[in-house]
Amino acid sequence: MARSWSDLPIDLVEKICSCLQIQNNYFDILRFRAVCSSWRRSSPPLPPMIPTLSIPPVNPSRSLRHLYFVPDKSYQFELKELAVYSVQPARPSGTGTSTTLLLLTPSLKSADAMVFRGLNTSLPSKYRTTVFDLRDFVVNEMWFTYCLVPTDGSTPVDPRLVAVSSVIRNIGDGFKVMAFIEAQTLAVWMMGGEGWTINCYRIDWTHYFRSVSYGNGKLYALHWSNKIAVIDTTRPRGKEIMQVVQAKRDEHGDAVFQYLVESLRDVFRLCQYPGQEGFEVEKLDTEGKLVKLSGVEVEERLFFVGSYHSSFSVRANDFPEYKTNCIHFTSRNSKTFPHSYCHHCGSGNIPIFDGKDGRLRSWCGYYGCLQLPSCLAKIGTKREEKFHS
Amino acid sequence: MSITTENNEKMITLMSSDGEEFVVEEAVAAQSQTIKHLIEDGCSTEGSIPLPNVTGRVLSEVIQYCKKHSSSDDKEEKELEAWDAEFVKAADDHVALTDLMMAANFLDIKGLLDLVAQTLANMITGKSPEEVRRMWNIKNDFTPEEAEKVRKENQWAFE
Repeated sequence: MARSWSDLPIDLVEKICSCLQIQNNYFDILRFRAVCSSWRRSSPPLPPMIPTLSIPPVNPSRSLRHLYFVPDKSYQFELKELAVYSVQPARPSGTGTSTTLLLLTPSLKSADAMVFRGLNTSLPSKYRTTVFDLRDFVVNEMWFTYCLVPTDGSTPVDPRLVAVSSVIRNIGDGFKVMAFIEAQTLAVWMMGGEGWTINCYRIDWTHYFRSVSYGNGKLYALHWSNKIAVIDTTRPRGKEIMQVVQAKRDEHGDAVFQYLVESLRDVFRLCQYPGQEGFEVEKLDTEGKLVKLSGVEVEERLFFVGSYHSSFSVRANDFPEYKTNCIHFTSRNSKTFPHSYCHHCGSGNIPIFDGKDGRLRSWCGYYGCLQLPSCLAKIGTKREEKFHS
Repeated sequence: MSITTENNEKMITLMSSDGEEFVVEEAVAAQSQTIKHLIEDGCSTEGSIPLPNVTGRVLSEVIQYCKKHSSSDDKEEKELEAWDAEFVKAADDHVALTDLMMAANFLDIKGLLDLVAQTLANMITGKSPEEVRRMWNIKNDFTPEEAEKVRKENQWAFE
């Protein structure tokens, strides 16, 4: 009988690898391939690191102001998936449970090595290198974000302005994509039995949308005017309607910062009003109404928000080293929340809002900044072709 | 030799590689496609069926699995899942699971093979290649060229 897996027949090794494939964690397959030559041979080629999906063209209607696109021209898009990862040094089992977290989003700057921006806490200095070896780490995909890349090379639609109903790999009947594609147009793609349908919702409000999100069957688009457009996608196809929710104004005026964040299937509006230090958290309930929450009610979640990246949220239990019930404010260009450099550990200080006592304090330990890299703008354009040719 | 029980179940005898004999109902043994074919070919009529690739310890576990799965119907799917989870937990250590997988493969019991493969896959998940090698006593046999390819595949960089 086998005493070691070296003796395991190759078809059984393949069988185990196929179980990993079903789980579809890119990094598990990567590690599997790095064990020995027979395991490498019995694993299939790696799936693409950044999955994409072609979606049908839309023709933005004529409007007064254009965000990205020329009106009355048909645009073909590719939906690209980017992930936020948790990374921790791989440890032999039984040597402690401490986790070190590093959150990253990829860019496509280099063909040989994936280039990341990240943030971390208490990462041992030996790992603070510019290039690191994945074999030494356990990597998991925690959260996904999407951008729409026009195939003609024009500017991609920012991840903040694209929402999808499930990850690309789970695509099936009922898959939905919403994007704010133009100054006054929200486009919604929905996949059904007979293929895609596309609806464009015209909005007469001045100014742009800030961000869009999906949760519990509804698509939400947060507008600068404090309105939220809600599209209920659970209604029969073609019968979806758009509701508008008006968020309240504070006595001091409109929120200075506001974000729409999907967290564990629910959608939250996080906002900060002038003269206020902390954030207010509201949940969009099943009827699309805004319900104000106290700190305790968001305890199971960690929020990361910032002006220039897609805000995201993860389950607090997965990251015991992070302070719970907090909003991590990762934007760099903020006068309200200046960032500083920590001479002690060489990383950056960022402000976190503590929901328990409503105080804002500086937190040391971010390494780099978490934001979708500027080179994201070049995804799918000439730069990528250059690297792939 | 085939014998019959009081409630008219046909019994057959299986013999492990180390000479241990197990008397089981035919319906239980027939969960294994390999044994089923042997029975159909008339091998069970003369004495016990020899299973030269399976030790007594592993065979008793396999029989435990087959008994459970032949007595349960579809209604009990949830309960069966829970039982399966307990079953692989009891086998626990990866060497025992590897033996069980080899046996499930030889005896051609699809359900058991899938169950064990998934359990082993779960055990690899989140472990570094070095740790997987150490646990399963696998030799790092990459040629320098292959090792370089592996290194490149696993290289990530910060900006």
